[in-house]
Amino acid sequence: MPAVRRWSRILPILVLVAASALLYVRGLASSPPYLSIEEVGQTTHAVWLSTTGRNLNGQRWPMYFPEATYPAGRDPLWIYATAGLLKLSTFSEALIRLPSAAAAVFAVLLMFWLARRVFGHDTPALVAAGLLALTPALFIEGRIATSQIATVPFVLAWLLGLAIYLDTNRPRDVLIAAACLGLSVYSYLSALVMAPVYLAATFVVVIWHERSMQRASTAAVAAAAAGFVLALLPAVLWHVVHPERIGQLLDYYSHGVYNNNRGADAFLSLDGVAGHLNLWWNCFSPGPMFFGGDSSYRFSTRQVGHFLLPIAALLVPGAVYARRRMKPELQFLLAAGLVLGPLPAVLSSEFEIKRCLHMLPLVILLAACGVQCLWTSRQQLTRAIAVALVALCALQFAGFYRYYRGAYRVDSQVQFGGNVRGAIQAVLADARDPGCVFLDRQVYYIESQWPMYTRAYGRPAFADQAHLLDPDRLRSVPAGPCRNGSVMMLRDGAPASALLAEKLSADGWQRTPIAELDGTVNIAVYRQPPR
Amino acid sequence: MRHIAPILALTFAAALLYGARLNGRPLQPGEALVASQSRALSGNGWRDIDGRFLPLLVHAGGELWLPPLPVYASAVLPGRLAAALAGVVDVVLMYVLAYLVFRRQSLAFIAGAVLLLTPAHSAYSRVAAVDGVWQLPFVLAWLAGLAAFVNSSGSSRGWLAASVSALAFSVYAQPSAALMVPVFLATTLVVLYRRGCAGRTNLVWAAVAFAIPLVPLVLWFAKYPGTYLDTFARWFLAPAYIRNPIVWAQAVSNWLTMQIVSETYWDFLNPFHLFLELKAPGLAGVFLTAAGVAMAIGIRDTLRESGAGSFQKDISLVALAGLLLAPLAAATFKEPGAIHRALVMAPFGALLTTAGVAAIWERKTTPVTGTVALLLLVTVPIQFGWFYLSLLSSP
Repeated sequence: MPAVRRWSRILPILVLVAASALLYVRGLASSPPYLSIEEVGQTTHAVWLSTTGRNLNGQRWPMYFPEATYPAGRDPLWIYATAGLLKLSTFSEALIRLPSAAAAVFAVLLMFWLARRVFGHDTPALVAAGLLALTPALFIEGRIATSQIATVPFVLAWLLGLAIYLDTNRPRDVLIAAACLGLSVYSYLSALVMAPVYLAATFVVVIWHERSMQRASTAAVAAAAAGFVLALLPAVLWHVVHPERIGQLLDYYSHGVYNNNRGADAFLSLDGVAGHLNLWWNCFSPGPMFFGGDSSYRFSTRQVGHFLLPIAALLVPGAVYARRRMKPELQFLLAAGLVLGPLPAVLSSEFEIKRCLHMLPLVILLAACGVQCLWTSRQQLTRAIAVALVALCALQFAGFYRYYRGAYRVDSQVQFGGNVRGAIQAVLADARDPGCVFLDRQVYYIESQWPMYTRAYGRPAFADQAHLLDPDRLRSVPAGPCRNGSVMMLRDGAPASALLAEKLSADGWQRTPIAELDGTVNIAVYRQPPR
Repeated sequence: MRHIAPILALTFAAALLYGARLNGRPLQPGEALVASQSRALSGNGWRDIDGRFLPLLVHAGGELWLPPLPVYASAVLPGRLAAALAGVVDVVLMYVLAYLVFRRQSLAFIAGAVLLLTPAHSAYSRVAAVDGVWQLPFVLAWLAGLAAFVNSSGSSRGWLAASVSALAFSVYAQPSAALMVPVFLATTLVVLYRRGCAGRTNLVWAAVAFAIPLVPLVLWFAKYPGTYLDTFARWFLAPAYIRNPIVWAQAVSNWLTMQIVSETYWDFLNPFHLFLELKAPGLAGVFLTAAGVAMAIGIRDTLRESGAGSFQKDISLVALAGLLLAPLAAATFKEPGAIHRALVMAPFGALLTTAGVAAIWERKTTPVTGTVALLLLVTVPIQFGWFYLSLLSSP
C-alpha cells in the first residue's frame, strides 16, 4: 500500500512534467519558424565557444561574451549550456532551443513544489503548475534560444527555498534560496537588477520571521548573505579585475534606443524620472498583459497577452485569498516582487516581457490563490466559476497554441528575415571555394547569420572568406579567379539587386529560388556554371 | 441653519477661484465651437442652423452635433461663466453628499474643499467646451439623493426619484456621460438590494423617475430619427447594435478594441497622472498629491471588513466603484489621458479622500501614515497655489 500511495503522489508530477515537456519541446525546430537575430547572436557565442573554447575576443573560458555593439558582453550560463549541448550533438535549431524549453519545464515543476508548500495540497499545486505551463509568455520565451527564461526557475527556486525555510526555520534553506538568487545573475541581465532587490526582501522576511519566532535572526541573515555572496563570488572577482564592464552596461542602457539616448540625464532630469515612473505603471497595463503581448511579432502572436485573459479575473480573488490565508512573509514577497518586478524594464526604458519574466511565477501564484479562493467557497456557483475560469484558460491556450504552431509561422516569417537558413544551406551545398561566395548585405542580418551557420554546419572556412556586398556594389558580376564557379546570394526582388540578378541570369548563372513557408521567394542563390 | 456658513464659505471660495480672470486667455478650439453655437442659437431666435426651435441636440454643421447643456448654458451665461457655475454647484453638492455620508460638518467641509482644490476640477470649471464639468452636478445629485434615500431606510422615495432623475438628466450634459448612466444605474440597484430597499414599489418609483427626463429625448428621436446616427449612435449605442445585439457583442469583444480600450483605461488610473504629474505646473495631477495619500487610506478603510454592511461603507464602496468605473466610458473614446471625459472621477476621489481623512482622525492608521498625511497637508496650499497661478497665467 505505501508503494501505491507513493506512486499516487508521484504520478501527477510525472504526468505534469511529461505533458509540459511535450508542449514545450514538440516542434522546437520549426516554431518559431527561423532563428531571431537575438538567437543568432547567442548561438554564435555558443558555437564559437564549443569549437574554440574561447569567446569572440579570444579569451579562454570567459565569464562574459562581448560583441562589437555590446562590449559589456552577454551572460554566460545559457551560452555555456548551449555550447555543452553542441559538444554532445550536431547543431540544429531544436538543440540550441533545448535549454530554454528545459528551463520552462523545470519552472513548471518548481511551481508545483512551491504551490504545494503554499496550499498544502497536490490539487491546487497542479492547477498552479498547469496555469504556469499554459502562460503564453513562458511558452513563447521557453521556445527561443536566448537566456531570459532562466530567470523564472531561479526566482521560483528562491521562493521555494524561502517557503521551505518559513516551515522549517533552517538557515540552510535560506542559504540555498539566496544562492539561487546569486546564481541567477549569470543567466540574464535583468537578474543583476532584481537579485539584490530580492535579497533585500529575503533579509526582511528572515528578520520578520525570526522575530515572530522570538529568536535572534543573526544565523539566518548570515546564511542568506553567505549563500548570495558565495554564488556571486566569481562574478564579483571578475568585476574587480574588469570594473569597466559596469560603465559599459550603464553606457549601453542609457544610449541608443534605451532611455531615449539621454545618458545620465534620463535618470536625473524631471522628464526622465517622469518617463520611468509612467513606464513602471504601464508595465502592468492590461493591454500587453492580457490582450496583445509584446509589440514585436517575433515574441508575440499579438492574439494573446503575456497571460491568458481568465488570469485577470483570478487576480482579485487571489489577492483576497493571499491576504487572508497566506503567511504574511509570503504576502510580503508576493507584493514586493510584483511591485518592484518591472525595475529592469523601467531602468532600460523598454518594456518587453523578457525583462520581467521573473514576475510570471508571482502572477501565476496569485492567480492560483484566486482559484483556491473561489474553489473553497461554500457557494456552488463560485466553485463553478473557478472551474470555468481554469477551463477557459485551457481553451484560450488551445487556440493560441493552434495558431502558434500553424499560421503564425507564416505570418511572422518576415519578422525573422525569411528563410536565410535555407539560403545559407543552398550556398554551402553549391560552393566549393570559400573565396568565391558573394552575399548580398540586404539579406536580413546576413553578416551575423552567415558566420554562425557556417561554423555550426562545420564549414568555418566559409565564415571569414565570403564576400559581403553592399547594395552599391551589386551592379556588376564580381570578377575573380574562381575555378569551380562563384555562388551568390541575392535579396530577390530588391531594386538594388534586380539589375544584377538579370545580368547573372543572362550570363547563364543557375538560379535557385529559396522558398519561404508560404511558397513566396525573398532570397535567391545564383551559381556560376563551371568553366 | 448651521450649514449655511460652511456652504457660503465654500461657495465664495469656489466662485473666487473658478471665476477669477475667466477671460484671461483666448478660447480653445472646443470652447470656440460651443461659443459659436451658443451665439448662433441665441441670435437666431433659439433656432439651430436647420431652423429647429429650441433643439434638444444642437446641429453644429456636417456630422457634428453637440449635447444641449453646454450650448444652452453658454448661451444664457456669458463666456466661461456657465462652466464656473457648474463647478461651484459641484462643490456645494459635494458638501451635501459628504454630510449625508459622514454626518459630520467638518468632514463635509473637507470634502467640499478637496473637490474645490482638485486641480482637474479647477481647470475644467474654467473651460466651456463640450466635455468637462457638465456631468458632475448630476452625478453628485444622484449620489446625494441615493445617500439620502438609503439614510432614511428607504422611507423617503422622493430622494430616490430625485436621485435617478438626476442620473437620467446627465445624458444631456456631455457625450461621454451617456455611457456611464447604465453603469451608475446598475450601481444604484446594487445599493438598493444591499440595503434591503429593492422592493417593487421602490423600483417602480425609480423606473418612472428615470424615464421622465428621457421622454424629451425619445420624442426628439421619434421626430428626427436621422439625428440619432450622429449623436447617441456615436456616443452610446449604434442602431445596428440595437437591432442585432450579437453584432454589438462582437464589436465590444473585438480583441484589438479591448486591447486599446484597456490600455487607455489603465492610463487613466496611472498614479503619476492622478496624483503626481512631474511635468505639470506644481507637479499637480488630476488630484493633489496629499489627496492621493488620504485617498489610499480611504480606499483601504473602505475595503476593510470592519464596518461591513454599514451605510457609510456602502456609499464609500459606490465611490470606489465610481472612481474605477468612471474612466471606462472615457476609455472607449480611445484617447489616453483625456481627463475631461473622465472628470467624474473627481467627486468620487474627493469622497474617498474624505473617508481617508476620517480614518486618520479616528486614528485607524499608524502614527507614521498619519504624520505623513499631515505633512502632505502642508503641501496642499503650496501645490495648489503653484498650479493655480500657472493656470491663470497660461496663454
